[in-house]
Amino acid sequence: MLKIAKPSHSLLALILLAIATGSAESVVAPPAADSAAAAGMADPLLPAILSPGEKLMWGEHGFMRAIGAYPLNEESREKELQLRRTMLTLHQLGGFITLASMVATAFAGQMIINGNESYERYKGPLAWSTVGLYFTTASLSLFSPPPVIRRPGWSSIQLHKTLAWVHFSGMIITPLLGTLIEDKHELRVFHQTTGYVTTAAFAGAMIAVTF
Amino acid sequence: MRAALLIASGLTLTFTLAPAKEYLAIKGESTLAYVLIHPMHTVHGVNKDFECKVDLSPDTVTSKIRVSADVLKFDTGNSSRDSHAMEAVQSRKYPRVTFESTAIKPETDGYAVSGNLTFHGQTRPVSFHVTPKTTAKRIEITGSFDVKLSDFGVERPSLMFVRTQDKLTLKFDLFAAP
Repeated sequence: MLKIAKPSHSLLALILLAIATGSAESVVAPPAADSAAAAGMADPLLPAILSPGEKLMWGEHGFMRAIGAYPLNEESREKELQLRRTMLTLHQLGGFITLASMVATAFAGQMIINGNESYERYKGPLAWSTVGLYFTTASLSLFSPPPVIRRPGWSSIQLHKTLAWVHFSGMIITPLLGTLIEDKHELRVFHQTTGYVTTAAFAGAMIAVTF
Repeated sequence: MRAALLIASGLTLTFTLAPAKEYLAIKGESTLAYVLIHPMHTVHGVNKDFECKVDLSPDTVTSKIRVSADVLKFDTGNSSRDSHAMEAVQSRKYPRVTFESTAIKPETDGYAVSGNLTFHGQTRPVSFHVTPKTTAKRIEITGSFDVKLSDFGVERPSLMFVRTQDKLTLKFDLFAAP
């Protein structure tokens, strides 16, 4: 029988925050563009398209501006872009580690289903390590400063983000099903399926960025 | 005899001082592109909105070619990748790449062009072969040349912890009209 601890409130808060700030790119015209133009700058400091997460953290009145950590000016923007590169490099590293953890979790789960119950002691820690790694990795992208430019249109990065919605959903549903299967054994097949779909979508999203 | 020499000198002077004919790039038709190779894919960034002026002198060799492009307008078809490239070339600090010819010499099937390329705030001499096609209404100049990112102080972009090659190929297909 699988034994997985119930998700903590802080984890749920992180999940909700991630949902609220999502990676979908909604078109938000930045007020910064007008202020930059008024200041006589050659081009706006922020791209014309900001995701909700970027607007929340890095918009003209975003959190990082409000606390004075990164005022919206040319010098600070240069530092932001260096921070963005660091965060996205760590996002890539986190992706590899998370995928390894995800595959190990799926393997342990499959071994348990196959009747090898000695894997039960590994499955819980592996599953929650995967959850922690996943949301840490996701937050490195979601909360990174906005890029220099963002053009509309379909590309491999859009495929990466579309698949992110699939594995993001999977990373909410799969652990929740994991907490339920102790009482409802018949849900095990759904937990197994969502686990595999999530792993496949996650690996696919990583491959997508290489095109 | 002296009169003949004077006339001849006058004709030579007239030819030498004949004003160069100014051609401007036809936007939308002319393309300036870069090719950068990463082990996982080859990146093609295309710019169709740049300034190019060709002062075509009657003797050709004293002609001038000037190109100025906004680095933000190079499009690889992947906005995220473009942004990464802009970070590498520090587009906010150095928003333009420019070229100005210093010498044009005839050679087999075209001309050898030498000039100065300014990229990432650094100017380096470059030379390349061009193949011009001239009609009464416009000229077409095609060619390409390689530069090293390291020569211009540009850090090579990376994906999945693997960096691109140092070599950057610049290609151009200029359609210019008076």
